[in-house]
Amino acid sequence: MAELAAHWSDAPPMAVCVDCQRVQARTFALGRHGMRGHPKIAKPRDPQRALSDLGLEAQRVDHLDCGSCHESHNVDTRYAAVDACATCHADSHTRAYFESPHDAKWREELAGTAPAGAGVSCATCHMTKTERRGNAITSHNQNDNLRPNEKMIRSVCLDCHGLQFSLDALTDTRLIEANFTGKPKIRVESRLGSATHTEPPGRRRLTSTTPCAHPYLLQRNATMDRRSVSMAALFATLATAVVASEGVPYQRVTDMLYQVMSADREVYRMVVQRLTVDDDVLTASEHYDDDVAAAIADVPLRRRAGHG
Amino acid sequence: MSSPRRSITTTTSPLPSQMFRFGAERVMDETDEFSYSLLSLAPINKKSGPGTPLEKEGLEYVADNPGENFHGEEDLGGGKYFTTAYPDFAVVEACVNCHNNHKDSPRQDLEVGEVVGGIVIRIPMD
Repeated sequence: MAELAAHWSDAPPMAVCVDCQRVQARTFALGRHGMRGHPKIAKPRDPQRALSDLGLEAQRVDHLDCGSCHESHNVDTRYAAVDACATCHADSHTRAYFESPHDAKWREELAGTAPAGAGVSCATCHMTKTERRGNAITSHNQNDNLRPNEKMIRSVCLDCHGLQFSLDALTDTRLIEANFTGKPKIRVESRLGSATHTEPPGRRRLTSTTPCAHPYLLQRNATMDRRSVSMAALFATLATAVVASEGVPYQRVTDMLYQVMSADREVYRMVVQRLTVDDDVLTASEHYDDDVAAAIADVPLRRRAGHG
Repeated sequence: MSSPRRSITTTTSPLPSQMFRFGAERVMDETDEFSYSLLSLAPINKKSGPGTPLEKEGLEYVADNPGENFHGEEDLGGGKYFTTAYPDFAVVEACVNCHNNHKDSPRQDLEVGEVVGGIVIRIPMD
């Protein structure tokens, strides 16, 4: 007992906790709270020692460690998940939390009237849980999914909400300020919803500002262009077969071809308009390597004459 | 079939008229059942002017009779062709700006909604 009393500390340094809480310490050092211990940032000088070297009185210097959120000998993750945050953070998002539906659920969970996991605490969104070898690991890097906030969609929001709602909510800054009390007043026009089912999982990148410029969509548009051209050729082959067998007037065939072409042109004009003017991510240019094009009209003739 | 110059990069894209011609060239690679092209009596690219007397007649017709189409038959290279011309309108400001300001453009007085050229579709009849 005497030995225990001799080594006892009411506020043990972080090094003591880290002996066992390795994952927590590692992720803590990656976020803003723990960045003084970031593995790629030089260790800070000890300010107390520097002050005493200068002959000045050593002062208490605040910095965050495990004990900032967890009482050293009475670790309460529920306290750390909400109330500990509010001891420092007093911005509108934090203050509004305590009036929010997320908090109401959290209180229900604490009271035992809602099942575990039903509540949404600060930590639910800002300290995501992952599973590793059957254990839940809580990331202590609060900055991990903070910016851009779309990162939160996959890691948090989609656990309960749909993609469109989540996109809208995270774009509505007033709603964020109100800590999601209310409904999004912004509608994010995104074509990603239709793109997700064919895109490889894990490679999806969500963006709320330039959905049309997504590389995947550009590639898909290019593919669609090739496909529509092939369909036009197929259509023409069929059409000319019809002409030959049933005596359909040539002009009806060309009328139909013209309709297909006009529709394609219109679609491409819209795409270019959107990418060049609305989203301003592309430049439509005549210098898009245009110098090797052959005149169209005489090629079939050359082919017919045996040169094609 | 596809060559590098036809790939859409993230910074530059073909103009609508160029994209239309790329489609026409690709169709030509795939079939000789029909061909089509975007032509004009006042083309920026000199290759896009009328190549046959009937094309010229068709382009003049669709320019003089907005909204109407032209069709005719012509003998070319020993074969008979059904050739049509459909009007191509300058639908947006971008078309007009380029056609009026390009150094190679023969016209400087084009207005939105005007006929700027024609789509010529040609089908071999034999």
